[in-house]
Amino acid sequence: MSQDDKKNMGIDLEDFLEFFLLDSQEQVERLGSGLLQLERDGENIALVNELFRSAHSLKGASGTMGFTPIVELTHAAEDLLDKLRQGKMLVTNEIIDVLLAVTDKVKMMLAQVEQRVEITEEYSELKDQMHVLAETGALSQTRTPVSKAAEVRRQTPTQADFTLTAAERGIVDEALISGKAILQVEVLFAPNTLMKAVRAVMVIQRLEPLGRVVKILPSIEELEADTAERFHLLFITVEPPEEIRADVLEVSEIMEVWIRHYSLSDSFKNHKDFSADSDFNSDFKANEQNENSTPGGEDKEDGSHPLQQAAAQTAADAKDNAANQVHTIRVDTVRMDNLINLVGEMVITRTRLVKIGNDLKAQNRSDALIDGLNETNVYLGRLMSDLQESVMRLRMVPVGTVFSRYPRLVRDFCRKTGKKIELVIKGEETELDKTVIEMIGDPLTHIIRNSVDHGIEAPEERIAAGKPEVGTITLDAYHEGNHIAITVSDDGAGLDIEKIYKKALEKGLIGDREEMSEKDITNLIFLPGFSTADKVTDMSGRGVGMDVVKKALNNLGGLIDIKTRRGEGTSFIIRLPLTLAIIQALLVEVGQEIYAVPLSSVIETLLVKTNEIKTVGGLPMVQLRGNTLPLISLKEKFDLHDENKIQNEVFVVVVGLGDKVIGLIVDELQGQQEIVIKTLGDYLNGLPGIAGATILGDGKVTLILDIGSLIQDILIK
Amino acid sequence: MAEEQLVTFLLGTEEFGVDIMKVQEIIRIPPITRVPKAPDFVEGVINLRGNIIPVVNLRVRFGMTLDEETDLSRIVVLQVNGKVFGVRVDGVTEVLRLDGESIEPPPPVALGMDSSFIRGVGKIGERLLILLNLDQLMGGDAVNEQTA
Repeated sequence: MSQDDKKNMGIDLEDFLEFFLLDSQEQVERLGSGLLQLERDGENIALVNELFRSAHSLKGASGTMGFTPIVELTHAAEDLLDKLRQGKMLVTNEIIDVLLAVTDKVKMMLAQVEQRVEITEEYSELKDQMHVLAETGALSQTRTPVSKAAEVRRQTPTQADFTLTAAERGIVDEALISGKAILQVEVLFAPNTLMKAVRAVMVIQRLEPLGRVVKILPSIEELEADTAERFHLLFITVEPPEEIRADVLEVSEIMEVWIRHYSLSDSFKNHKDFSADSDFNSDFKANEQNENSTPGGEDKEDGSHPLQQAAAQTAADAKDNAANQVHTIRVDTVRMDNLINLVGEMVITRTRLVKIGNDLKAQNRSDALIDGLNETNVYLGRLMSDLQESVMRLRMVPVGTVFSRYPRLVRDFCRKTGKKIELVIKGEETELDKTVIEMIGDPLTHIIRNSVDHGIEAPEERIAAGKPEVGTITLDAYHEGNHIAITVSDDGAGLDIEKIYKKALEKGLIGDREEMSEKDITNLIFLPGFSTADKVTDMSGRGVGMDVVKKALNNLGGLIDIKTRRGEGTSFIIRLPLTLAIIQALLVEVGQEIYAVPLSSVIETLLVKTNEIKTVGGLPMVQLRGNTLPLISLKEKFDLHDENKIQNEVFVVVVGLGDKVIGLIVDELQGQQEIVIKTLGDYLNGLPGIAGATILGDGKVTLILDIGSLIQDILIK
Repeated sequence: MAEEQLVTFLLGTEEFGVDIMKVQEIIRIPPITRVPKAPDFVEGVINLRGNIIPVVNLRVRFGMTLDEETDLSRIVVLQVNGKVFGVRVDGVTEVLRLDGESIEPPPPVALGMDSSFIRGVGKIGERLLILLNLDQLMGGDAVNEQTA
């Protein structure tokens, strides 16, 4: 279809492009994961059918939008899948490889479409590969003549049996009186057309501007069953038949169109008693049921209307069923962020109201109006937190969207190296803030690569060690208090503590007399410039170390932890905050500055006598219920001015992430408040110990402490 | 470049000029929140109608002695390469047009301050105007060293 044609259709392509992209990307994802499954299952006709349908609808959609390269690629893929489907070929690794390559290529092409640039991806080689596979892999060459004959037989017009209802009859009569032509349009689908109902609706939509569609045979519901190869339409128009035919042929997968004049005798013949009252009623009912449609009789006046509605609805249902879609609205993230910002500002404004209310109360204790104000404030607060939660939920995305890319990663690696690894994915439905989701992809990829490359041993090694030949990597996500934990565990060799220690010594990352626990040593891999890989492989060891992973996660307010046992495997545990935008915080005062501590990390607050604080190895510590709690003096950490006032007692805020707990020494506790997290901007991002900033009720900026980085700082040191 | 329109301001006895197109607004000094571990020339952050922006103390940045805040002190909010930040100055003097011909390249030894901050020197009769190179103010090496 040329550009002009598209304009003629009166459709703004840009409007559809977004839908096309979303839908196609989904289909590609489905193809990709389906292929991986097919590789595992071997023969699975149902799955091949599904893949075929995905490829097919991709092709159809791309064709409609005029993206020829995608059409050609998916067409070849479809051919290949068709052979598999018909049992003419067997599923082989080569086929899976080439089809996966197609999904990759199409993905890249879609990316180009998304960027509104021309598709320049080279694909002819892939196409040829598929053709060769389709030729050589085919078990039987006899198919072609048989199907040709079949097609010839089918390509002749047939007579439709139009039985008109009284309402339809009325429309036809009216048309005859006004001198309009009544045409019988017969439409033949291309072989193997899927979703015929949708095609039929497209045909109807095409015809709508030219006249009125009175009846369709077989009904849309029957077309749904996908057995029909053709359908008939009764169409009232003043346009010349040739034009109508050309128009209908524009719809993709429509093979042939015949148009004849519909003679009144046809309907007389089939509907002798149309004027009888009883028959009128029964017909009316039948009609209503048949079209499964619109309540109320007024629509019946307009014969084409209910039909089209029913058709459109059935088509929509069909689409729903086919894709098993959730009802969603897609909203620009900018708009959503705006909404969240507004809610954030409202939260700030409310805290101001609360402050005013409290101040008034302090001045004037007995005023009933002030009590009323404060009560309203409390209620408003509840509403606000509900609103906030709802808005924040808008940003939540299931973590499965990130997880879905890893089966492919692991599979490709196995193909390349001959390792045997099964990737088990759990907890895909666990939801995380969209920003977090976007940011954890790369760190997770890195960790999984690590597990795949360094964690899981080669099959021979595994057998020698008495383990199952196939290694397992488990990717899991679950709630843990106010955090989401994501774990990557493998049943591989575990970290080599000695090797790490030696390596760290070699690289001068630690002194040789330093005494370290096993845990301390495993944490060394997070130091910049550390890599134990003996050889650089394609998968990992590209100079990007675990330190980058750690930094990326810290930036998200997350924490990473390792558990490893020699010979049994390694687990990486990542803990991430649920949301990034609005949090509860404890405000603390240190050296005349106020800082916000995310309440999700606060375990308790203590009043500690200064003489109970002991310094061990340069770090202040305090005994807390038999355990030693390391302390950080925020005053020293942040070089704050101190008027040297001697305090007998200090406040300690005990904070923790995961199983790591430290205490922050502060001057005063200022109370708890909801705060909206804002960034410090491009220039000051990534300062140690600071996660961001917020604006308090009085308009002053307050910094938010980054507990993750504070803890990691002190515990790794 | 034919003619430039500049916002001029004072730091001590020196007069400076910045391109008016880079100036978003000029505000009185609001409460400034100190940011620990930030480069020393970053005095802190302020709340500019809900946005948090950093403020550079130009006296520190240019190695001048610190002075008390006065009624005339202002923050000039600049937008450079899409990023917004403020600079604290002792006072804003005027908006003026300067002919391209009256702008000379920076002198090699520049008034005791890092010459990379200086784009040129403008002459208006007897007055000397130091034209600032705004890209260097925040984007210089100092910030990168701190955050690397």
